[in-house]
Amino acid sequence: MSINLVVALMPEAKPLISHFDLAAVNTRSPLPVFQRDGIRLIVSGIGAAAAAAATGYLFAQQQQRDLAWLNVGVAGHGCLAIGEGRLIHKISEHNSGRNWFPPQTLKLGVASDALNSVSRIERRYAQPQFYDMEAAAYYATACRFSSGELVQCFKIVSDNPSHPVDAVNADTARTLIGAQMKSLDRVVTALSALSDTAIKAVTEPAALDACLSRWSFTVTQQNQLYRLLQRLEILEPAPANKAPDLGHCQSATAVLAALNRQVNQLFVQP
Amino acid sequence: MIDHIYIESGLREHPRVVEIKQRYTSATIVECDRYGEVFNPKAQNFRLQKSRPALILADKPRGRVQQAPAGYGIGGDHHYYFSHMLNCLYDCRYCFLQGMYRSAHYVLFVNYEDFMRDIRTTLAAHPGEDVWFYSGYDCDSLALEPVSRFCDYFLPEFAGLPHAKLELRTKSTQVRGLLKQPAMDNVVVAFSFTPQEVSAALEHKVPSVQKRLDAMLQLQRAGWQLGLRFDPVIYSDNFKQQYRELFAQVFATLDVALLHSVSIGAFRLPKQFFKTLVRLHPHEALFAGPLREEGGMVSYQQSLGTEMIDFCTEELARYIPQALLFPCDYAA
Repeated sequence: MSINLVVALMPEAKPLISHFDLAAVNTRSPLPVFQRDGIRLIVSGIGAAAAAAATGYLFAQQQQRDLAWLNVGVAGHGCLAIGEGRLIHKISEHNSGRNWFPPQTLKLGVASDALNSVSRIERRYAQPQFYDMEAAAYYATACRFSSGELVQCFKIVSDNPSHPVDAVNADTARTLIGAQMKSLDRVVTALSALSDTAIKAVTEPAALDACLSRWSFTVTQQNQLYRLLQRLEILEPAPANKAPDLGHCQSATAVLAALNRQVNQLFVQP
Repeated sequence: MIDHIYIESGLREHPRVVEIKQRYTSATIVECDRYGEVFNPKAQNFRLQKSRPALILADKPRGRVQQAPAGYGIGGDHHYYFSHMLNCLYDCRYCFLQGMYRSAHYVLFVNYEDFMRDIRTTLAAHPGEDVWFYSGYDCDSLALEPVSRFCDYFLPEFAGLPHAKLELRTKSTQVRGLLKQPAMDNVVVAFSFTPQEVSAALEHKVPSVQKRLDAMLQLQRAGWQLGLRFDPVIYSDNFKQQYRELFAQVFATLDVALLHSVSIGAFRLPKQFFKTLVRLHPHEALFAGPLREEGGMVSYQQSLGTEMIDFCTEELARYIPQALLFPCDYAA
């Protein structure tokens, strides 16, 4: 399982930390980070800049592309009842007018809704959608590191026209998120499985590191080497696939030529 | 099947949009300003999205009728294509659409009347001449017929334009719409085939060869003109046996005398599309095969490509007259 959770406030994070049994990573970290078994959670603080910074910070800690990302939080809504939880299929940034559409590829039966990211607390709830202050910045940032299918938001209604935002406090946020933990667990599991699929698709050929450490390849040659080794693995799967015999090669160019010959010998000419 | 439908906000009252919404009452409707907001963003993975594509209902404002690529023709001098849809219900590993688009969502352009107006304008530029219009270039012409109602609209329009020749290209068995109306002289329904073994490995969700042949037979009996498209021809160690068996199966089912055309072409892709496909499916054996890049196209190594096409051409000559056969050589 590998997923990054981005949460604005500690009361929102606590039910997740408890449910997934996460432990604090480093008390000197500029932002609180918790993790266990591939699940990482960062507490960003409120607003767009905080969300973007936290997302970037978490990526920098791992340097792994195509990880799953999930922004979890409470939010206002124009009409949904308090406690309702939804994935987000459209994020609009109020200030810029930009829209993002996180692709909904998870087969979970969890309903989805639109969200408007605003820069100030929303009290009018003009549209029948969610209102928050982080999702747009989080999504735009996380999509620099992962494909949109792997970057999702899950929001839970904390306030609406009948229940103003002023009544929301730490206890409310903790309780509301705790009550959605079953859905959240399913989303986390499915999203991290999707990420695993994407990451597995780019497994490096077994002999790559040995070749790179022995011979000096240009960047172009590294790409050629990667693909030739990959083709060998595909065309001659284990156990037939032995490590290529390249011991006699004096240079990277000779390695590539030898691999090319080895690949071409695998084809039965008609 | 369709859980999310994205609709351009300007189309929310369009009759086709209303009808499709009524068909998918449980789908979540998401409005967008332009379909490109959903379809074009960079951070998308075609492969991940293909597991659960959404439907996008959009308007195509321009570029509705395009010149067909060289080598796409099946006789005649003027060849154009038009795409009322982008992307396909099926998941064929070799399909160039994966290299062309970032999204696997199905885009359905609902302004059919505008397409038809442009088709008439294009036809008028070639007075008295036959002009071919291909509908299955960026999509499968028939696979999403129950949703698109493409044939319901376009066939009656083409019925009044005898010089406009329409090719419907498909791997689908959705022929009910065609069977409920009279066959047309200026419409060819062309089915694509690879050997069953290849199809099972590479053409995910595509009906079996026999099911497609059964659909073709129904159409042939109803008087529809049929085309066969052996394109792309795919290499394997025993491709000769596979294609020999495929041709035998096909021509044992269909009446050759009633065939309109047969075309054949080896697997080939623009280099950039090929790179994208390898990135999406790095462990796919097809892309690890005996391929070469030349002139911006990736195809089988020359001697192999020639051998495969020559073999298939000779085999086909046992069943069909030379005049029916059209080679597809995009690299030419």
